[in-house]
Amino acid sequence: MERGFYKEDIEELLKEKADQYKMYPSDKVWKGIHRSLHPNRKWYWLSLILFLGAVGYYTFIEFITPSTSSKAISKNNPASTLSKSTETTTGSGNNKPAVIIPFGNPKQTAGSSTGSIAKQRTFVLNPDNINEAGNTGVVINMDQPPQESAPAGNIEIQDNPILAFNQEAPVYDLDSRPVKKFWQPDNTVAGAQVPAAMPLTNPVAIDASRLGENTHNAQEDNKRMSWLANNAVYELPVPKQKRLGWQLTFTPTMNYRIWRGSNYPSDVKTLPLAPIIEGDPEKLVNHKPAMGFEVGSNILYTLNKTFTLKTGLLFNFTRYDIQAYSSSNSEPATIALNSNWGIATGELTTYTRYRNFGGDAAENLHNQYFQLSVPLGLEVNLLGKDKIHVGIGGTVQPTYLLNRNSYLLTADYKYATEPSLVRKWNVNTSVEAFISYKTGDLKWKIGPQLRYQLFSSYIQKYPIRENLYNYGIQIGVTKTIR
Amino acid sequence: MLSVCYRFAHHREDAEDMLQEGFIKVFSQIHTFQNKGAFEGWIRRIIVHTCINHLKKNKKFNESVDIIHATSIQVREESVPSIVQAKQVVECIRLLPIGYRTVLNLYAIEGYSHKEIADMLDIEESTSRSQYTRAKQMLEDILVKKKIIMRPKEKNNWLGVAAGR
Repeated sequence: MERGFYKEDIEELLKEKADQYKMYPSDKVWKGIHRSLHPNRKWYWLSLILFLGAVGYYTFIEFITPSTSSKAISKNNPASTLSKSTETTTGSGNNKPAVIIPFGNPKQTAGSSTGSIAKQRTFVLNPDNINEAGNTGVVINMDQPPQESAPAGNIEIQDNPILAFNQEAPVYDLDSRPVKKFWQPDNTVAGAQVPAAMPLTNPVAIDASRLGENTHNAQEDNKRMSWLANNAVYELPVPKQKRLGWQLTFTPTMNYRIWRGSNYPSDVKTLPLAPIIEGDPEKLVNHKPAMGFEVGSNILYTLNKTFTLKTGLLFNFTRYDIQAYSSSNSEPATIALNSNWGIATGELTTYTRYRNFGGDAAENLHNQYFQLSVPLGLEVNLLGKDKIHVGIGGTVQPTYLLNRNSYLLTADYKYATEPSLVRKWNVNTSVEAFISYKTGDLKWKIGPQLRYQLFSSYIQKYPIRENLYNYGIQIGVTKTIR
Repeated sequence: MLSVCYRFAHHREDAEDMLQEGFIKVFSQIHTFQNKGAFEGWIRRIIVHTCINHLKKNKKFNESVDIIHATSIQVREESVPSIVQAKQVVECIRLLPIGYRTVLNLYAIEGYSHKEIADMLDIEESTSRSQYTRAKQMLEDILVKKKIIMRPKEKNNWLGVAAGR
C-alpha cells in the first residue's frame, strides 16, 4: 500500500533516468543501415554487364567473324592475299606436311628455254605446317601415284623451280617457323629472298618437259583429279563428331503466381490490430499478370542424335501487378506468422500506406523478382531429319534471388514489405517444346516454354504460399563449337 | 534510440541489431511521415515496435516470466554514488525478467496503455496490468538493494535519496 502512494514518483523517476541515459551506436550499425538502404546495385549491374559483355564477345567471335578454317582457306587464295605484303602464319596443330601440287596447263611461251615465265598454277596444301624432317614441303609429281610423291627436302628457293614457275600463287618459305609467305603474285617484296622467275627445266621437283607433253592431255587432268580425290579419302583426317554447342536464348514471358493458404494461419482465431476478414484472400485481392523476360546462355553436350544435355546460366526478371489503394498516412499492419508446432503464434507489426480495401487513391504495385538460375536439363529430339527437328526439353534450376521488390499481404489486408520473410534460394523447373532449323554451324530454335517455381517465394513462417510461374516463347540459337 | 533498444534487449549487440532494423524501417518509410506529430515520437514508435518484433522473432518474449528469478538476482551492495546515475537505473531495469521488463518499459517509460501493450504482446490487458505491478515491485527491491532509493519506512519520502540529490 505504501508503494502505491509513490506510484507516480517511481514512474517519473524511471522515465527521467531512462531518457537521461545516452548510448551511442557503433559505426557498424550505421554502415549496416547504409548498406541495407543502398544495396550495392553496382554489383548486380556490373555482373549483368560482364555477363552480357562476355556473351556479346563470344557471339561476335563465334557467329560474326570467320572461323579459323575459313581463314586458312583464304590464305591459299591468291585473290585474297594480293594486298598483303608480309604475312606470317602460325601452326594450327595439324602436322600434315606442306604439299605443293601443280594443276592446270602451264602455258609456256616459245622462249621458255630462255627463261620466260611459266604459267603453271599450283596448290599449296597445309602451308602453315612443316613436316617433321624439317623439309620445306612436298612437291607432288603428278605422274606418280600419291604414295610415290617425293619430298623436295631442304631445297633452297633458288634451287626449287617449282616455287618459281607459278606467278599466280603465293610462295611460302617452309623453312621458317612460323611459315612465312615471302612472295606473292604482285611481286611485292616480302622478305630477303624473292625467287626470280625460272624456267621449268630443273628436274628436281617436276619434269617440265613432261608437263609440256601433258599440256593438251585431258587424261592427265583426270589423273590429277583422281589423285586429289584419293588424297582426300586417305590423307585428310576424318572430322570428329562435334558434340559441344553454345546456346543463347531469349524468352519474353508472361508472369503470374499461384497462391495457397490464407493470410491467417489456420489455428489463429484472433490477432491484435488485425480483424479477421472472412473469405479466400485469392478472391479478395486484385492481382494481374505482367510481362517479364529470361536471358540465358547454355552449354549443350550432344549424347547422341536424340539426347542433348544442357547447363548454363539464366537471368530471370519476373513480376506481377497488384491493384491496391494508398492512403496518406502510414498505419500499422500485422503480418500473421504460422504457429510454431501449435505452441506459439507469431506476428510482425510493420507500417504501410497500401491497403487492399479502400484508400485515398488507386495504386498499381509491382511484385518484382530478379533471379539467377543454373539450369540442369535435357533436350530430346523427337522428329525430323537433316535440317528441321522437333523436340522437347526440361530443366531443373537452382535459383538465387538477386533482388526483389515485393509486397506481402498482411493479416489485415494491407500490403507491406518485409524482406526477412522472403526466401533467397529456390528451385525452378521448366519444360519446353521447340522446332529447330539448322544452317551450317548454327541451329535456330523457337518454341513455347513453361517455368514454375517449386518452393514458395516466402519462408515457411508466412502463411501464404506463393509459387511463381511464367510462360513464353523461347527463341534460341546454338553454335557448334567443337 | 540505442538506449531505448538497450532497455528491451539482452545485450548491447541485440540492441544494435534492433536499432539497425528500426532505422532501416524509418528511412525506408520516411516518406510516409506526415508532419502531424513529433518526428522523434514517430521514430521512437517504430523503434519500439521493431524491438517487440525482434523479441518475438527470436522467441525471447515467450520465455516464462518467473518472479523467483528476480529474487536470485545478485545486487551489489557497494555504496551508492551521491548522484544517482541514469545508467544504474537502466541497468536495474535490465535485471528484470524479459516479460516484466518489456511491460515496464512500454508502460512506465514509453507511455503505452495496458490495452495497447496487450495488443502488441498478444496478452490480456489484465495480464499486462499484473505484470507491470510485479515488475515495479521487483524493480523497487532492486533499487533499494542497490541503495538507489530508500524505503519509505526509513525516510518518509520513498524516493528521498534519489529525488533529494
